[in-house]
Amino acid sequence: MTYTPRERREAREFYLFVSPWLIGFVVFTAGPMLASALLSFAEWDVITPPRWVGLDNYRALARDPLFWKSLGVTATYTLIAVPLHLTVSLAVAILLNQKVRGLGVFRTIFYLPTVLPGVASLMLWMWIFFPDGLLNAFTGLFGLAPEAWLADERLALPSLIAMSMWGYGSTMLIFLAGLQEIPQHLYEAAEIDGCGRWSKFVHITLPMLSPVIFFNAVTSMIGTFQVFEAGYIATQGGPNNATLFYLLYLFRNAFEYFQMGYACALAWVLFWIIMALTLLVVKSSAAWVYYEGKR
Amino acid sequence: MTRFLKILGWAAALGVVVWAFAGEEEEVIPPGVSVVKFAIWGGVAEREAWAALAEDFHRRNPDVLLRVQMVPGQYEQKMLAMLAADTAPDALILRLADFVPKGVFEPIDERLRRDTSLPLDDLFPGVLALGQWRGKQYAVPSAIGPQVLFYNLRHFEEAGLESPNDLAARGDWDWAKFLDYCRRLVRKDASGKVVRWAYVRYTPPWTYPYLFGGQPFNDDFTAANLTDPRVCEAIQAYADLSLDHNVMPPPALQEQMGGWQAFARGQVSTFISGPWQVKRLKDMADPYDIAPPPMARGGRTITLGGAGAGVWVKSRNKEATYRWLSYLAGPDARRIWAGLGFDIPAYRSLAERVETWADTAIIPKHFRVFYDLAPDLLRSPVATTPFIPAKAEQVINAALEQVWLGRKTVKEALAEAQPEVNEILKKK
Repeated sequence: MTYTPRERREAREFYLFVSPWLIGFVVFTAGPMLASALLSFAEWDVITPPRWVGLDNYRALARDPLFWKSLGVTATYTLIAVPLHLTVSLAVAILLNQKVRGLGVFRTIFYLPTVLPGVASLMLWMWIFFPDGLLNAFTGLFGLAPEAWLADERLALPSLIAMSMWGYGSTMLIFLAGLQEIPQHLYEAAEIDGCGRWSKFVHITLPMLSPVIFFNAVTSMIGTFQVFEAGYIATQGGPNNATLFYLLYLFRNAFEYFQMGYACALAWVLFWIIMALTLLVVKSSAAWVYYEGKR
Repeated sequence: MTRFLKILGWAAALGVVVWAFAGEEEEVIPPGVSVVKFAIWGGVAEREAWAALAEDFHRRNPDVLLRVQMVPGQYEQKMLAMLAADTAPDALILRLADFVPKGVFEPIDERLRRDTSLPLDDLFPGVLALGQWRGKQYAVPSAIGPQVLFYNLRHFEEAGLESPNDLAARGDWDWAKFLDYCRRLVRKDASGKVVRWAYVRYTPPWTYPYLFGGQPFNDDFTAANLTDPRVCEAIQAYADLSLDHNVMPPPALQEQMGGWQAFARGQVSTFISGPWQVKRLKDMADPYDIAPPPMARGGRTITLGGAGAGVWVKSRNKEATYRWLSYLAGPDARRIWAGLGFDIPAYRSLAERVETWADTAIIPKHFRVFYDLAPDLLRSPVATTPFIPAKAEQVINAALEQVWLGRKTVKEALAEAQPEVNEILKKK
């Protein structure tokens, strides 16, 4: 295949303009990924030179009860938080898609928590969940006994899931954009046919929104598998490892126990788990995601 | 326009390349002057004190410029990253048990032997051992962190309790008496809910056996002794403060309440900790005092921390770095630092003249208790944080979680943890 001088010049310019990103990708993403893949087969404490141990780190993972515990905690968190997150953000998006006065103000208010730094929000929520905090004061009004929300093995994870609902803003915004893309004539036609609100929601809104739901489901799932701050700041993985998220365990191995090789193995296992689950959701999308009215 | 865009594109690409390969801007240092970087944790409260020390050091050593890097949090992780990048400071403070085996610190035995500026004879016997690992000296410790009982004077007065210092003077202050005091200090509302706790934990659980005459690790910290009956008895007694007597909040709740913070707020009447709390508690609303910690027969108190800074093995200015550490360990620097309420200098001459350096406006009435305990706590083997690997601590804490949940006794939990802890200690 031959290129004209103009095409060659354009190609040169193309590579010139994308070069900052390409260099950044190779140096800061692909390079470290390759290094971590190699280090996952080594014993390395960051300071002394790495020692090749073959598959030992992966074998140790299979026998490590805390690996399974952290995986279980993270999977449970994902299974509950993702559907809840999608439902709440869709519900709020629908509310914010109504034609009411002061809509801009409402949209701003509902999006506001998303722009707050995660750590600041967590500190706020910790005060709410504190034994002498607002939540116990509120439940006390109904005669309920105070609970140690973050200190009780049964309640700590559900409490962190409740806290995570605070950050629905971005998902909600994508749903809102998706809702506004649905042609009004579909609703008008449905109304002429005598459809009620629920019927319109199930037969028009949901199918038309399914690509957006699919996108949000995949990104939320990836995000929840990488949850870290909540367990690190609010509960330090406790009580009794009830909130030991996978990434928190990975961090501890890397930066507290100086087992960087083992931490790299943990990272790669997580990568393949997320990859497998994403492929599963993508595969399943053929059955429930509609593009232009077609599956 | 196209030409302009092209020039812009090339300029941007060139800029990225130059930026990527450009080094850090070099500070202009006068010839013959060495720069020593020292990293220490702390924030605004400590910044001025360190600046004053650095200035005083430079005045005495004009050929050395000191750069103090304040690390407000995650000190160990940040040092680890800097060590990995070969950009660590010349002097740093890290757990000896974790970092000496990795070859981070330079042994300083020879320099210390030749050092005539340090009045080593004036140091409390046993203090230097705090900076040793497997027979070699890596740091110059000159401060101690005796663990004492901090108690809220108003709460004690309200409960009609005699001063623990008076009891200790008569030999009547022990764990049983402390338990009795805790029961009388705790406050509950009409529904039975505790509204004010008697005690909150600050020191790690593995420190309690020393109060009971036990020894959770062998002399050189190469093996755990967690199944020793006195070790189990001590940790069980500590756990029972919460499980049986309900005078101490369960650990997870303590995490949320904070240790010294809960004491400072008046939510807790007592806690055991070290001299660094004096500075923190200076604005506490209720008056407080300190006393020897409650102990069982044959028990003793311990010192936490106090290892001092070491010289990074790859430092380019080892001699100048050692001079800074030597200055820092000397009585003059110690007096300035301790005067701010941060620690207790381990010099006998300073111990005899507390009034010449301590800030009398903030120190508790029985401040001397810190010194009264010194000979006992420096008895070998010294129990101190730098000798316990972080992972071993984590394994013990994880095992004890089962105790808090009522699933195991302390004896069962520690018996399970012992092999793993031994494995970790053996690797060091």
